Amino acid sequence: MTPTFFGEPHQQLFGALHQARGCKSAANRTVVICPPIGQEYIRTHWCLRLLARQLARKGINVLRLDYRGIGDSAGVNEETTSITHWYQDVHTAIDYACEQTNCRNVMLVGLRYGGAIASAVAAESSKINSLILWEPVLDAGQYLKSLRTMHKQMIDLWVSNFKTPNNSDQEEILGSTFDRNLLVEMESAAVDLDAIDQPQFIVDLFEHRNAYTVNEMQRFMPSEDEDSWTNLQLLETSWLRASTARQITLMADEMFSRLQEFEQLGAHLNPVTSSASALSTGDAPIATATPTASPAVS
Amino acid sequence: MQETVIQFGPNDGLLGILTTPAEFERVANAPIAVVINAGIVHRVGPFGLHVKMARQLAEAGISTLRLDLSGLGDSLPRTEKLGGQNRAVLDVADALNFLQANYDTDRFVVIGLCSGAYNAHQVAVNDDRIVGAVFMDGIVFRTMGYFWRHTVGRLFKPRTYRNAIKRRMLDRNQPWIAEDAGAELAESEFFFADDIQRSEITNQLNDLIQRDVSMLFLYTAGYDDICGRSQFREMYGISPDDQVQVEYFPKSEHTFRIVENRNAACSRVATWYQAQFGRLESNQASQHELEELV
Repeated sequence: MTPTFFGEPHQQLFGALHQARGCKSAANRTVVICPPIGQEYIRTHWCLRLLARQLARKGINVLRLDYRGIGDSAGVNEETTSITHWYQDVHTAIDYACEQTNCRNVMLVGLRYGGAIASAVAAESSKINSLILWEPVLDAGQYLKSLRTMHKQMIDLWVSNFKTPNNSDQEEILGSTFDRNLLVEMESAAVDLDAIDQPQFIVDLFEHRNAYTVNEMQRFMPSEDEDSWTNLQLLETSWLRASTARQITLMADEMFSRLQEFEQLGAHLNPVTSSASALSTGDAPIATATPTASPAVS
Repeated sequence: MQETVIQFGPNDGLLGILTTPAEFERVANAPIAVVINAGIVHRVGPFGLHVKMARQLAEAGISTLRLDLSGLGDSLPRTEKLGGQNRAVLDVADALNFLQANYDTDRFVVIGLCSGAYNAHQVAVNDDRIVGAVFMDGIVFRTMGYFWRHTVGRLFKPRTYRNAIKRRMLDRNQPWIAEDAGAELAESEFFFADDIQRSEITNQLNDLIQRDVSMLFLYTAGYDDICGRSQFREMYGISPDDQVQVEYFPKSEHTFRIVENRNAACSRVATWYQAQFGRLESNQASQHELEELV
């Protein structure tokens, strides 16, 4: 694993590049992992590192990044004033990953709000061959509402009265300060999986399965997990889902094999032809997914 | 300010981020701060505490290394037999060796929160290169004074009952939470070895005092085994002074979840560092050298 800073010198991003190992390692297979934001970033760090290592052992290069103002990347969170900043960070990471691994395109893996970011980037980039969305946040309004509820509970239960900033400029939510403009943009940005041409593999909680409808572009795998994102007492608990990470690794391997079969990895992508190919197994498709009504995903 | 990735230790398997001040800001001869993981959180620290602290120290002219102990964050586990040695002591020794070899210094300050404070204590006791230490919610022992201030004292605070009721109401809606409704408060017994003896720690602290190690002890109300600044003297029989400073944050939670509290803690550490090792000391050293010339 090679840790590094990359990107513009005045806006360094931290990345951890896991080099592919094994016989498939020469096959133009690269993943960029889009992590969650806020405290979920810290909770899931260990799990994403585990996923990256598993992918690397499957012959897939992996770049994990920290968005600006989060983790080890330069800046502070409150200076991020637009969700396009995060999109730009992912674009920068994609360019860096392609350069380091000699690939033309990458798969994006997005966890939680990283799934929303990955979806938005995929809709506008020709360098994304496929997507894996892991418990993605598809309704940022609901997501922020649940964070605010937990924040209020946390403050309310504390030993003394406390007021955290919540004004026209900034709002503090569960240990992070967010710019007001950023929050407004998050709430109004819709995630439309239909608008994404690339094949998608979605892992979400079993209770959310009905929020997705069938679409040939997507495959949905229900997770037997329980929602731990809205439980205040688990706020600082490490979120480790080794079994699901393993399943995602296997699916990523399969998707790359399909893309390679259809010669999509070394090429500039044609979104139309790359679509169903990466998911087609000849078997009946598992419930494939586009969110319909706004799911209570948080 | 610059941040650099460094890798060191066995097979370069240990990782840290070194934050260094701009050249014109740098305090000459200041020891490098080394921040140790809190619990299993990686080098950024709980809610980004370590990042905030390192960057604030850099603004004060101090370099800081935030490292991942072996097996945590992005550092690989150690594979050699430890032979009873504390893993953190070995990891930090590797870090100090690297810094000493590459950054021309043999003086360091260790900083840690919770289990990080425990490890910082072990490192300070075992390595003469440590000239300063910041222990945040570290090793504590309950005292009679604690009993009166905390256990009895909170019976007279209405908020105690209010919060207990509210937590139980919250418990009903969240089925898999801990049985103890006060589980939000960190308890030291979960983070440190069972066999720590107060007498041993007292002796070790006195040894550090003899070695002229400057120390800052920070405690928070969120740390359930300490209540009030006076407990420090009750525990160790040591009165705080300039060399051994003690601070109690009565409104702060254990991991500084609230930004205002986190900022206050980082500022306190930075202020302490500057007073102990900062430009004041640097100026005095320069004055002394000048006097010798004259």
